[in-house]
Amino acid sequence: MKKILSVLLCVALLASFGLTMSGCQSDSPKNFKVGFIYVGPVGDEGFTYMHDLARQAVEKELGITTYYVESVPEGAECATQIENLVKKGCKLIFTTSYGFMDYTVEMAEKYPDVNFMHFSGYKTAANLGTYMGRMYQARYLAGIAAGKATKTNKIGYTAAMPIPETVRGIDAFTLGVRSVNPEATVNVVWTNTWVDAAIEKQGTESLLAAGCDVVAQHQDSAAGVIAAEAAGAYSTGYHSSMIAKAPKGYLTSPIWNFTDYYRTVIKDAMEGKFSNERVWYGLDNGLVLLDQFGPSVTDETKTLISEKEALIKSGDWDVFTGPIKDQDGNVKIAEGQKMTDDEMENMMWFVEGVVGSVEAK
Amino acid sequence: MKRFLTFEKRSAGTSAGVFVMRVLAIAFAVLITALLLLAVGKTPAKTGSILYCLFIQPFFSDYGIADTFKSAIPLIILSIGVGLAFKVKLWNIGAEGQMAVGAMAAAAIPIYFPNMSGVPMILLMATVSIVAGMVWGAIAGIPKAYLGANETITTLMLNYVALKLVQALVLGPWRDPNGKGFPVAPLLPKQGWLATFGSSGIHLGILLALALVVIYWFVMSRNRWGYEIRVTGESAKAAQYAGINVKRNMVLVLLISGAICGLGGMVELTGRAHRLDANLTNGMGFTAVIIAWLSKLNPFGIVVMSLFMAGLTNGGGYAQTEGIPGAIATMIQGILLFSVLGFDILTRYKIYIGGKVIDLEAMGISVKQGVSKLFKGGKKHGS
Amino acid sequence: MPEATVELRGITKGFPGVMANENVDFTAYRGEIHALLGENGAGKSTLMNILAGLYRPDSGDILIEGKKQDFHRPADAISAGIGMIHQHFKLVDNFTVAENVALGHEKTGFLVNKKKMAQDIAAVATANALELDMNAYVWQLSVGEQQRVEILKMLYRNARILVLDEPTAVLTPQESTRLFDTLREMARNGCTIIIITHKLAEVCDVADRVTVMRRGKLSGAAQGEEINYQNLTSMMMNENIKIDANVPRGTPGEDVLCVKDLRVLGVKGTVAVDEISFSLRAGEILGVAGVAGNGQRELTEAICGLRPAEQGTLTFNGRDMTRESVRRRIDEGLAFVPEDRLGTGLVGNMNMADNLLLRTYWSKEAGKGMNIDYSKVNAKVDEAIAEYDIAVGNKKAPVRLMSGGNLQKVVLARELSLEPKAIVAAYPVRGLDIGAMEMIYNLLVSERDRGAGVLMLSEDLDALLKYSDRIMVLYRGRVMGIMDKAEARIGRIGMMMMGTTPEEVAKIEAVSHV
Repeated sequence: MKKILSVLLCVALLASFGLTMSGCQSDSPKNFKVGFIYVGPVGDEGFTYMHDLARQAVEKELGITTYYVESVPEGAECATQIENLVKKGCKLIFTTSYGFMDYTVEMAEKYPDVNFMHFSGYKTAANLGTYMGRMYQARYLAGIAAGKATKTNKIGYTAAMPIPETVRGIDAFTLGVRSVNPEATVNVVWTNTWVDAAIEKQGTESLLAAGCDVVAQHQDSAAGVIAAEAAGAYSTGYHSSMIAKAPKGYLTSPIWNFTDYYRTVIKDAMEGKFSNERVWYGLDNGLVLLDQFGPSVTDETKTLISEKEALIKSGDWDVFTGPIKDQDGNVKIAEGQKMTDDEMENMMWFVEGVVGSVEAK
Repeated sequence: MKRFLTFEKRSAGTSAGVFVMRVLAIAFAVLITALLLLAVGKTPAKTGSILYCLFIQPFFSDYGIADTFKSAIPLIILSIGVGLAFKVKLWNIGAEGQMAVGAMAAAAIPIYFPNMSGVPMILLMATVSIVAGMVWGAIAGIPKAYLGANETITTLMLNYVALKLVQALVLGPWRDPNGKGFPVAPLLPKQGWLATFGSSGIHLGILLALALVVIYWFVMSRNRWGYEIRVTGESAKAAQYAGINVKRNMVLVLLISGAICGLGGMVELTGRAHRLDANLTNGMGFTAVIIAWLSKLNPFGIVVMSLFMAGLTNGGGYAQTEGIPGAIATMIQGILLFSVLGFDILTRYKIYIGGKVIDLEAMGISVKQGVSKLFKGGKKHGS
Repeated sequence: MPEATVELRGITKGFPGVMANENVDFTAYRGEIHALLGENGAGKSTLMNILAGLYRPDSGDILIEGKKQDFHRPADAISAGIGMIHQHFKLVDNFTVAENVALGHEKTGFLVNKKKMAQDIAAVATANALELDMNAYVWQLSVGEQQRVEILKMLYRNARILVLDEPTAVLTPQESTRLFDTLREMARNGCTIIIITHKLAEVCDVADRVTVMRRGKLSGAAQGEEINYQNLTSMMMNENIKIDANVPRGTPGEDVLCVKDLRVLGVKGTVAVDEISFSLRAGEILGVAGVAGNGQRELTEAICGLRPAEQGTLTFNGRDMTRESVRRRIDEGLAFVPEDRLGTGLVGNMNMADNLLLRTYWSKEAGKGMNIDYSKVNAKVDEAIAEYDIAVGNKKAPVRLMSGGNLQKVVLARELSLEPKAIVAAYPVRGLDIGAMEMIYNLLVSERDRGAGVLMLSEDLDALLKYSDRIMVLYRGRVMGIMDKAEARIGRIGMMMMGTTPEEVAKIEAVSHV
């Protein structure tokens, strides 16, 4: 029995060597290898799924080879997986979560002729850039739909962690709500987790019980949308379209589309034109957008939204343009003033109309 | 009524041949994995490269082995900590939390004393991590010894307390002011990083881990206190009869166990993570429980099993680039663990297959004897 | 000629390093009580485990009621009509008697007619004189009753051949008598009863036929008149052991251990030792008699520091030791041979060296500083093996692999190496064969002659009378009386063990003399 095992193992080994020897001859696009490190599973129907849809599309379109590693924990182990992609021959590697930042930096230092793109971070190097979406713009538009839909004037919002990204999203959403319904409030529940369907469901149910008839979310699963549908309430999702989960009460969602962006970056890298810039793309570049509308969204609302969308895309106006007051009624941004990107990246205060605190409870 | 397959319990199992059993178990798991991959339609060549990624690359490729070592360092330290508690049958499954508070305490030093120089800073970090781990161990140990509180429950619950504490700190007072608000503590100043061996990334923690292994071995085999621990673990009645203060030792063991795990947190922080966040421990405390168990609390077994588990985790990622989903990679790791445990149980039985006896342990013993003969023979020729 | 129900022919079974059974023949007949006799480690249990399907023989045949059988697992043996009752019962505490009997029985399907089953079980019990409350929970039963449940379980499964492994080891004398009555009744009903034992007295009382084993081989058989002490002993034992009827008395000196008004609580918080006072002198053996569970365990543990004294004092060598640690008592010269050898007296999974260290690991002899010097300890192991004639296959192997007699020798080797001033020996020969018993009694006698005081607990009144210089009787945690060897009689001790005061004993004796 042992003999059989050892023979089998030898065969397997030889086969694997054979495979690594073959297939590295010509200069076709097939030899341009791109790697992706994902924080979640590709089947999450959310954030990682959107990245992977884009990866698949671009691979097919450009005929390149891509590799991905899913469910990589945010920690030192990700360096191992990044390094493996380098050893596989990847010339461009996308690391798609904030927690990969330091290790991406470390690997960029160690492998200067490989290019890296890190999602949501702020550290760059000659061969390391970052990319991020102005999701707040899409959230503002979703807020308009929510503001129009609410009858109790109480809107709920389950949010993962009190960090500027989520705070900014809540603020933008609230500004959208109050632009059409100044009476409405947005009630925030912190879940302290990015993805945990049970806790997200609990959070949503507590908001519904408190009288909210529309719920929004900054979470990674559709649990909130499903819970709202079950209670006959309206909801907005996040990351990807969740209309199938709530065919009646779904309003819309701020969602991602990475395809155009990945195509551009990969093409540039293939032509040796990699840029280490810090990309923060909004509605105008199509990296973030608003999903299709649910059946209850009226034509009037849709018109309002498309007007605002056009305005934002034109670049003449952005969400955080004054006057904007904080929760205590102090004017934080004066009339006509626009928040800078840096201010937005560090935004840790709520606008008027938000019920809750930026400290996690 | 002759049966094809019969099991007979053996009289008394000894530890001989465990190594051979492990090798057989791994070979068996490789075989099952290969069959599984072929069954889901992978070509033999693809199956070969997936097996290569899983079982060869983490251990025999240059950067693979370096990464395996890096991942194994905290596992070795934590498993020694957990193993010490297991030795007295105290089921400390709180390594995760003890590691977290250790890392947390260590991270506090550069935050409050950013201008210390390297060596004192690292020594101070090590000290506070040990103290923090000890405190976490004591919270479970004292109620265990004097009130009989179940340490399995207390240590488990303390894990969550520790992890939430870290989360609260990185969301609150320790949040990196330059980190765009993300819930992480600031990067450690460079003088607080453990030195690494060349470009391998393997840091000084490896020496500490191996030192702990040797100390553990020495204490358990030569030291009077280690003797007390062994007796207490075997039988509390016998320990009392031997004049051993069982309660004191319970508390002491959980303190030291916690201290070692806390130190493990500091090593991971200063050697590899370089900044505190809620993901630093990443389940390593639980992996350590499995390692301590599989290595039967043998310190050298702990080293081997830690490398094995670390390699297995890394290999699971490598295999994904050959086109298998992450879930399948996890499943294969599961097959391996099951196989190891299964073979462990089989050593306790004689198996009759169609009238033929298969005694795995006897096989293990004879292989071991053969190998040792080979060694002795070799020595003779050499001298 | 009755029908042969069990025939084992040429059974051979080896374990790594041991030949447990070597070409053993064994035959038992319907309606008899058959004793399988032999010293510990003679291969009796192995042989019966083969019969019960737990082991497979390396060679040899098993015939049950004339039919050749090939047992692969215990269930095969059960369906062939063999029921084995082990020393440790396999009952569920929270189930009733009836439920335990029904449990795992093949008649038990998914739907159970509970009432009918309970009636069936009760009928089987009555037919075999097994008196039991079918609705009582197992945790409420005494050990003897639990054993009856085990027997009933086997009978309900249609066992016609019952094998009992050391059935009286856990029973009181009364319970033993009762068990044998039951067994006799079952034999009369046509069962074959096989009891594994090493107790000669039992065999002489109840067995119809005896098979004797020695060192894995058949060493003799006897039936009817041939069953007597001399005959069986010579078959069982090495011939070189002499049984001297008379042990010379010791020469007692000063008091070495004084117990005064000692009160000790038992496990459940009840008073187990109730104001006991006595003293043990140097150079004497003070025997302690009493039915098990009358405070013996608590008394010995309290003396040796394993259990706190609620009240009273312990003086050792003239010093108050009531609150001293175990270690201090050892250092002062108090040796303890505890009741449970494996578990308290020895650590089963440790080797001999570690076990010799158990009560001296802190001492200078064990090594310098914080560490243990195993070269010294290993030398002691060799000394002990030579001095106490300990049979050990592999010195590095865990001691649990050793036989009971050798285990007790290890305990004594360790305890006596301290040259103790007093020795508390709790049931030192329990479960041992005659050879080991003799050796251990002789060791205690020579310790006495060296000048140590020996407090010896025993269930064997003959041995107590033979070796003790004085005998103390315990009843319900109290001392019923202490008498000199000269005035000790079995009858007297027996009455006191049942709670009769010495005064009453004297009255009864006076009446019966008249």
